[in-house]
Amino acid sequence: MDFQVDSANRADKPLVSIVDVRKTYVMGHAPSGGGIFRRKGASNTVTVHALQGVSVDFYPGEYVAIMGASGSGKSTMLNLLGCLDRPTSGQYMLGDRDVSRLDDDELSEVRSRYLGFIFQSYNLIQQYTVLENIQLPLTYQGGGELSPEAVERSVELATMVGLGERLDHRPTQLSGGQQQRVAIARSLINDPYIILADEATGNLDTKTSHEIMEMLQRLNDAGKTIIMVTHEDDIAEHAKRIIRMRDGLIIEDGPSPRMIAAGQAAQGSLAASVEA
Amino acid sequence: MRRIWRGLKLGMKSLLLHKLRSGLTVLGIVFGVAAVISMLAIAEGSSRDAQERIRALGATNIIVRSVKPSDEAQATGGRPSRILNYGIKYDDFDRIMATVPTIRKALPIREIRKQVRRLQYYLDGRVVGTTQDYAEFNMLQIERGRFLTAADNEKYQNYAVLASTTAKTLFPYEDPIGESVKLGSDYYTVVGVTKERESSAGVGGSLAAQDFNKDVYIPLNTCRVRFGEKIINNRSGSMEAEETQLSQVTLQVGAIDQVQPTVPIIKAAYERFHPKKDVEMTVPYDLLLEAQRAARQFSIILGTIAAISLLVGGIGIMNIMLATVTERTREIGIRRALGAKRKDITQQFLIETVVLSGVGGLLGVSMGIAIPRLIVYFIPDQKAFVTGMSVLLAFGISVAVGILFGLYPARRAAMMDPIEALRHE
Repeated sequence: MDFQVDSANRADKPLVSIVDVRKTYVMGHAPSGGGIFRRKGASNTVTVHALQGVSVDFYPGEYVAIMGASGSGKSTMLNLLGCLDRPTSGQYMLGDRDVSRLDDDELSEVRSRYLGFIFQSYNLIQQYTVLENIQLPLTYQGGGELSPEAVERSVELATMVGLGERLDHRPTQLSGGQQQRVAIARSLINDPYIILADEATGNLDTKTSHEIMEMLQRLNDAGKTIIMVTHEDDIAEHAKRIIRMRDGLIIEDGPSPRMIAAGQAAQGSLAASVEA
Repeated sequence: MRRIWRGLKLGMKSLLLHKLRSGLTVLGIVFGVAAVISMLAIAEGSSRDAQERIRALGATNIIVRSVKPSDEAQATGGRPSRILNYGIKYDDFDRIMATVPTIRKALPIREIRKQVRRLQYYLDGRVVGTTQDYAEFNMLQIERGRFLTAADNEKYQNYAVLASTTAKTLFPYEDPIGESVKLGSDYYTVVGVTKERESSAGVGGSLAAQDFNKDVYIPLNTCRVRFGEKIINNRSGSMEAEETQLSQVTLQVGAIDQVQPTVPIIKAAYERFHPKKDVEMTVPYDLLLEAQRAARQFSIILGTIAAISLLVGGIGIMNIMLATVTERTREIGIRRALGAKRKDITQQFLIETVVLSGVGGLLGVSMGIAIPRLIVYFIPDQKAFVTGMSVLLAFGISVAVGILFGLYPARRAAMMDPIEALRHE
């Protein structure tokens, strides 16, 4: 049974290609330095293997949910995907570019041009207005004052998320749902390759969560690639593809129940038409 | 440039979020800068005041004065004479003029305390026997008539020039020119009146304050023949007699760099003949140098104190910025996630500290200009002068302090791990 809905995109080159990525953290004392009493080979550090060789591809237009218990490596995965961190080993291709060996400034550049972030706690800048928050990623793309087109676009995005009347409001004057919508508008300002959502609905009530998920759904329908991390099944079900992780490895990767159901329905109707 | 401008605008927003905190931080710099400027203004004012007073004495002048020897010195002179004989002699004057080549002009003066009379008016003034150069040496200006001339001196004329107070006292209603005044037993024709002149203050303790307004100027030769050299004071039964020839000789050299080489020559010319130390020399140029040295020390001390307060202000800024960086760790994480490079973060925090210190600097400059005016207003004797240099210096230091003390917190903010920063509550 094929994953029919995405079959057209599957043929494309992957947008993100991760090959055997590992990430280890050294906790405790850093091995550098050390006094004269430190014996050779003695180490009071703990090495944590957050990712133990993960390979996965993401294609343009995909809507992926990464799931897993805490400590499964899903946050590390998202940090790597978001270019906030570098893998210890392995390769991360974003488009045609290997971003796994870039330095700090280059990673910042990649984040500001190709990635959009949506966080659990909205992460707006308190002293800025709605409009300034939406424009923030552009200010780090170099250049001085924003172009009139960029300003126009930020107003458009604010209107799109339903905050066209509140451009001068500050985050503290907005509800949680409204703040998250500002964050969504902000994640779109640089027209990113991928939108990365980290428990985007974690701080919201069910009704507002639903609104936010609908908005992400619409964005995906419009062709945006979305990768989100969540531990809630009903949120993950909005995605088309679900990746489950445990102990730094992918243990399951497949279409979401919604897609399976849709696929079965499609097949059912196909079968019915054949029968008829 | 535009990028910096935008950074400034956004930085202001962050600072205005905590108005009280930013205000108090700025205050530290304000007082520091104001202290630097006003302290330097007072130092500069005092220094200029002193230098001006010394210049009034003439920087190219060397003043040789007769002083009454102390009792011990008189006692060592053998049998105490009934007449106290001391001071500069005409011989000394001639010897100095003959042996010191650098002297361009010389002004011998003989001073006598005498009552000046006219009709029922009288004044206990100072009779000054001198030559035509006196007005120039002492910066006296003529109100009406003329000053004494060389011819007056040569012809032993009974002419007198009155100082302003003398003229007003003796001639309350009339024009004094051509009228006569009585000095001792003789009458003198008034040929001129000088303008009022502020008394020169004693500088460095070596010069007595001199009031020029109660003087009567007569030709030196006239003075010599009319009053002689002996002054006899009858005082309640005892008699005191003094004999002096010249009270003071002011010598002028051609240029300021000739002052110091000339001093020892003059000293050698008279010292041998005055073992009783009844002649003293005052060198205004030395006083000027000394005043400049003192002024410089004064400036350094005041400046250092003020600079320390500016430093304290800087530490205040650093303290606040460190707290701000910690408090805004999450904001730093957000900015980094959205694409801010390390240098963007450094720049942001640096702009904020420089805005703080710059605003503080500007306020401090205006306060620093206002404070010396207030001081001068309430303490009229005190002079203050705000130099452009001190304003630039203080403002420059305040901005430099902002950069210096902002750099560490800004670097600390920039070096944060974005993931850690985002996780920060």
